[in-house]
Amino acid sequence: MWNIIKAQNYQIKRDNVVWYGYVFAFILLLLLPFSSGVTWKELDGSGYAVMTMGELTFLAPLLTLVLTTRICGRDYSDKTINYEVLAGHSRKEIYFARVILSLCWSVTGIVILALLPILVITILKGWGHTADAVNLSVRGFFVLFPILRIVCVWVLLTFLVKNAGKAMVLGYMFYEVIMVVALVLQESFQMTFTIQFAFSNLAALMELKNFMLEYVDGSDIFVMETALKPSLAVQTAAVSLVAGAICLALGYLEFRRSDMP
Amino acid sequence: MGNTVIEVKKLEKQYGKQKVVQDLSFRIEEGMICGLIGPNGAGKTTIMKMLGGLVLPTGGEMELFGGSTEKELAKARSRISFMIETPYAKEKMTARENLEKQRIQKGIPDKKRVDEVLKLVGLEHTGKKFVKNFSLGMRQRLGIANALLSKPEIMILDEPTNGLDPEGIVEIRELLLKLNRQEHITILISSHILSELSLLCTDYLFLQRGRLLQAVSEVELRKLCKEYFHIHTDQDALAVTVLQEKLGIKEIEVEEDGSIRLYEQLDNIREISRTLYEQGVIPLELRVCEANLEQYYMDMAGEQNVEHH
Repeated sequence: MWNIIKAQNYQIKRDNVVWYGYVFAFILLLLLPFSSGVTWKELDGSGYAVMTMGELTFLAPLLTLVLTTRICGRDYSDKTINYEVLAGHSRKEIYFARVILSLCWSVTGIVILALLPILVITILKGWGHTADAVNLSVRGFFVLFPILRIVCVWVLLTFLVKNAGKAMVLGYMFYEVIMVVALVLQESFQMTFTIQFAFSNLAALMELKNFMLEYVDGSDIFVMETALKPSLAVQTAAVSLVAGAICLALGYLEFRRSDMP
Repeated sequence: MGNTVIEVKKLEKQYGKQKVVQDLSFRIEEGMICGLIGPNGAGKTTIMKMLGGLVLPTGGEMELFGGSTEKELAKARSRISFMIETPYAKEKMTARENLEKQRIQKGIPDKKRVDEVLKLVGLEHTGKKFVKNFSLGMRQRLGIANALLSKPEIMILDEPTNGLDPEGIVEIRELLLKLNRQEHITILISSHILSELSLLCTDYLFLQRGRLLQAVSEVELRKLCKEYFHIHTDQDALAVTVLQEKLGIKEIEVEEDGSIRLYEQLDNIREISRTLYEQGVIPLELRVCEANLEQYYMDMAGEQNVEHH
């Protein structure tokens, strides 16, 4: 399995689409605060962190979708997976090597995308008072769980469909449908699905809504409420791990017993 | 020849109600170059895919290097190289990058091996050219290079000369012969171009509609395909004695029905007829027969069609 991971890494590093995706997401996140009218003078580390966290709710599932379908799905159409089977690797090794790679590239990418601009702006402008750094870090840590879960969903989808392009389209449609369904249920029936759906779970962790106005250093500033409810944190971790494991198991069962195209 | 390296027993593959491979049993021994012969749809590629683990059999058993469990088969496959259908290649990578990736994936520590196999197949000068710009022949060569990367003990090749020019076909044939003779690599090769296989193979497996028609060695096949006189007389036993003693014919076979096959003096039909007649043997049937490999297969496949119908 380690050889497959190394070989896939060799390939991914040469995949322009992956790097274009990262660069695009990075530029989007970097420019986003300024699109809402914030000036460089007003910006600080905590302010930037709060603004981009909400956008990551949207970007993270889509970025992971592109990465996962490229890693797991493209190798079906050009028979990379076939040749791994022919080389004597077991189906378990082939499948879980791709799962590990999808998780690593997704999580690493998102962490770097989120942290790097925050670090740069904090170094240049200071942290500020908009949000508590420790609480935000804790939220950031627990955000990894729904991201892991979402990656597992994309892995399952890609191994069912066996094609990167189709999986990407279906994944996007699935994402949109789930968002709409959750919204309809919430608005029409007053039902909340904070952790049942990975996307709403992600939103609950990343979108900070409650705030208060504080007078600091001669000016009014918004201070966001960043403390995370322990119940939300625990449920997030538990549900994400269980749901993720179920998706991976289903994906493996399908891969294990199917003829290669 | 030596130990059995591949053995299948009553192997079967069924899709829905259709059996694409059925009741297939054969054995390949170390050192063979075995040709898998059959028309399109005979099941050649499916058999190779089952040996490779790409397609799961629906019946029968399979052994590679004596192992038959899933784990043993996977381990055995690391000693075998496959080239099945369209050769593998990442389109937006160069030949060298593709092979380097395969080298890493197969766990081959020697980095120089990539250059060695590129040179072996004549792709050492492709430089930064992406595979998407390769011709079919170049892609085939890359597939063969990939198959040679791990220095396998067995090579399983599905129409490896497909798309190659005549010079390329000769080069690949000579390369395979060299690998078999010098490196003792066992080869299972499929093709529907029988003339090409006849220059290469030591053994043949003839397939039709997923069934094995016949397994025969090259020596036996040459005998079967050789030009000969077919003679049937009113006293076949006496005819054999006459031919041996009076004409000194040594290469002579008697078939099950008593008729005679002569493999020499084929331009001496008048003398043969005259001698038989003088000794009181009346030739009832006397004809020259010739079968090349294609004709042999067509005749055999035709007979089987009649039987099955």
